Amino acid sequence: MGRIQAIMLLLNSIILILAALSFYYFSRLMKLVKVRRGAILATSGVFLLTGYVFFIMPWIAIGEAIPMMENFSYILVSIAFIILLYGVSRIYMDWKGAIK
Amino acid sequence: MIGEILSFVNIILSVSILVVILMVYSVYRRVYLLWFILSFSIVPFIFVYSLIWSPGSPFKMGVVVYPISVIIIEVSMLIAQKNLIESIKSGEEEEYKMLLRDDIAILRAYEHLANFFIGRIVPLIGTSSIKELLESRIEKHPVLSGSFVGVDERLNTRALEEIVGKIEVEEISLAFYELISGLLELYSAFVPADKAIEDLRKATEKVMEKNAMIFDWIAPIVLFKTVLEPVLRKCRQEDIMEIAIMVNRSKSGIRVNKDGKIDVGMLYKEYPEKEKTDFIIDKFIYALNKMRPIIQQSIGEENANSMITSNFRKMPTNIKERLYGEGLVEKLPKGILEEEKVTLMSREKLIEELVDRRKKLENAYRELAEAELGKMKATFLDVVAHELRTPLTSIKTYVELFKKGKLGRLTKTQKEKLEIMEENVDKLTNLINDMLQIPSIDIKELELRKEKFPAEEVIGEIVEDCSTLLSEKSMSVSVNIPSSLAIQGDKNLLGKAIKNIIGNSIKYTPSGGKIKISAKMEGDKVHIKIKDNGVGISEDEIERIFDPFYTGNEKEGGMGLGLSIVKNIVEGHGGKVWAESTVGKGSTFHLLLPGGKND
Repeated sequence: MGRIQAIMLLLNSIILILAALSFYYFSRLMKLVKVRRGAILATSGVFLLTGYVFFIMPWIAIGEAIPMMENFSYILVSIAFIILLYGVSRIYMDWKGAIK
Repeated sequence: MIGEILSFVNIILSVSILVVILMVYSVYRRVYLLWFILSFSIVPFIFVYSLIWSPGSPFKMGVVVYPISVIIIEVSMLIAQKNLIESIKSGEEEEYKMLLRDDIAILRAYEHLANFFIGRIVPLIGTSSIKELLESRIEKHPVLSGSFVGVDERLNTRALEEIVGKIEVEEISLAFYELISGLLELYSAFVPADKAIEDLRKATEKVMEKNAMIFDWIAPIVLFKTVLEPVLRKCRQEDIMEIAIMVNRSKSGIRVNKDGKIDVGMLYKEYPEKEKTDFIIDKFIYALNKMRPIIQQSIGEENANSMITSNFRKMPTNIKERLYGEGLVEKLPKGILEEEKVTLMSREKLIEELVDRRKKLENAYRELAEAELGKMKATFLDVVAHELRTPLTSIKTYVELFKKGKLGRLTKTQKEKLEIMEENVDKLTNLINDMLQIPSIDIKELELRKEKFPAEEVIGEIVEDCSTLLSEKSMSVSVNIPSSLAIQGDKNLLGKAIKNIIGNSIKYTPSGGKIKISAKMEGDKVHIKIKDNGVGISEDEIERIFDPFYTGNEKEGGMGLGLSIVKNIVEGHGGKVWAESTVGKGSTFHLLLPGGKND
């Protein structure tokens, strides 16, 4: 295993732990309050994480980038951003109506 | 290349998301939102970095920027979420629940609406009646259990928050609808009905301002209670009862009581999951169309329309805009909100409407001009005919006096010439009489002279009258008319019309020709056919033969008024006349006249 692969594995392990923690907090939040637009935000999060995994996987596995996988990960991230943009816009509209 | 384009797209998208989050922060300044902003402001830089650094660059370790950035983002997100959870748990900011949950938001809106009326009722009668009302509603709708009127003299529904997530919004809405209706009724007992309705308008407007999500749930209250109910209450008691029976029998979910109060509680049970506004509008239009004829009958059409229009205009602006936006105005019957209909019409529709109206106006002008011309023609003919008839009567009288020898003895030649003179005077008199038939038949006058008479009898008499002419030309006539057939109309006029056609057939059929007259019932009309084997009429002439003064065959003479008179008489009776012909083979005239069977 090369140096890059080792570093990437270490850093991404932290990322995975943080993602799991984030998911835990989100679940708690959902239990506490049935978060409006929560499903939209969660879907966007799943796409973002998948996109990142596709981007980073070749670096961990072979220590190099695979352009095709990189492009695919960018597409997934774009989808995630579109969903997220819709979600935050709806939240803004709701809140704007509720708070004057 | 594709990677660069996608990076660029992602930069734009992430910046847009960041801008929206900043906008959210601008309306609701909270710390946890700042953490979200921090985490998301890193994202565009990651994609900018991807454009600068490529995996093929000598500095391969540059790739660690990605995981490090993601770690920073995740940490910020974690802090934001933790912050939010703590805020909600500590209950420091109650409004979080309202912002995050639909059901809590709706619950708050109902609470606000109820408190609006409680605030007005308490100074009048205190809280005891309100508490009694609340208890009775809790009994009927256990969903309200736990809500109470506190020492602050306000309704408190915080206890309901624990259960609302498990109950359908429809059920909550029905319970609150009944509570608010009760409060409104209680309030109406102490203030004039108009004041109560005005306050309901104010209350719903304020609630909508606080949370527009309540729109679908308070729209029925606004539409039925502030638009329709005040009009209904102005109706006579017996009319209200009639409306109540009619509406209550229908399966619309709307109930009307004997005082004109409308109950729409059942509608909440039928609420569809989607397109709620369409559902409410359709129910309202249905109820309006059902009630309108009786309301109009009770308080007058104009009064009813203007009251409904005025109530629409008084409706809270924020609710009105939503309802108008969903197409309510277009669905309203004629006479209500007409100005708004025009305003809402698109430019193209407006132009279409204007063009259409212009055409209608032009047609009306043309018809008017034609009518005026017709009237002028009639007057002219009338004057001319009468002016001619007077000297003719005088000539005829003198001719008769000469013939009887009262003005001296006459020679044989003079007598012969006088005969010719008398004949021509008669011809002229007949012509003038025909001219007087040209003006339109006066329908009102005709109604008075209408009678039922046997078709066979009148046609038989006409044939009899024409027997001299027929025998002169050695013509035969066959009549096939069932004795049961009867014509409904002015016997003299219709007889004249039929005689004109038979006379025409005799005129244009050579000696030895045949005329066949038949009749049969067609629905409620008598269809008479007069067929000859005469010279016939050419195709281009046939359309014009019923025009006044049209003479197809100049050799035969005449003013060309006969068929025009026929048309006038037949159409004046609501009938129809037309002809079919083949040159050289003969013509068939059809008359469709009102009739029936002989009594």
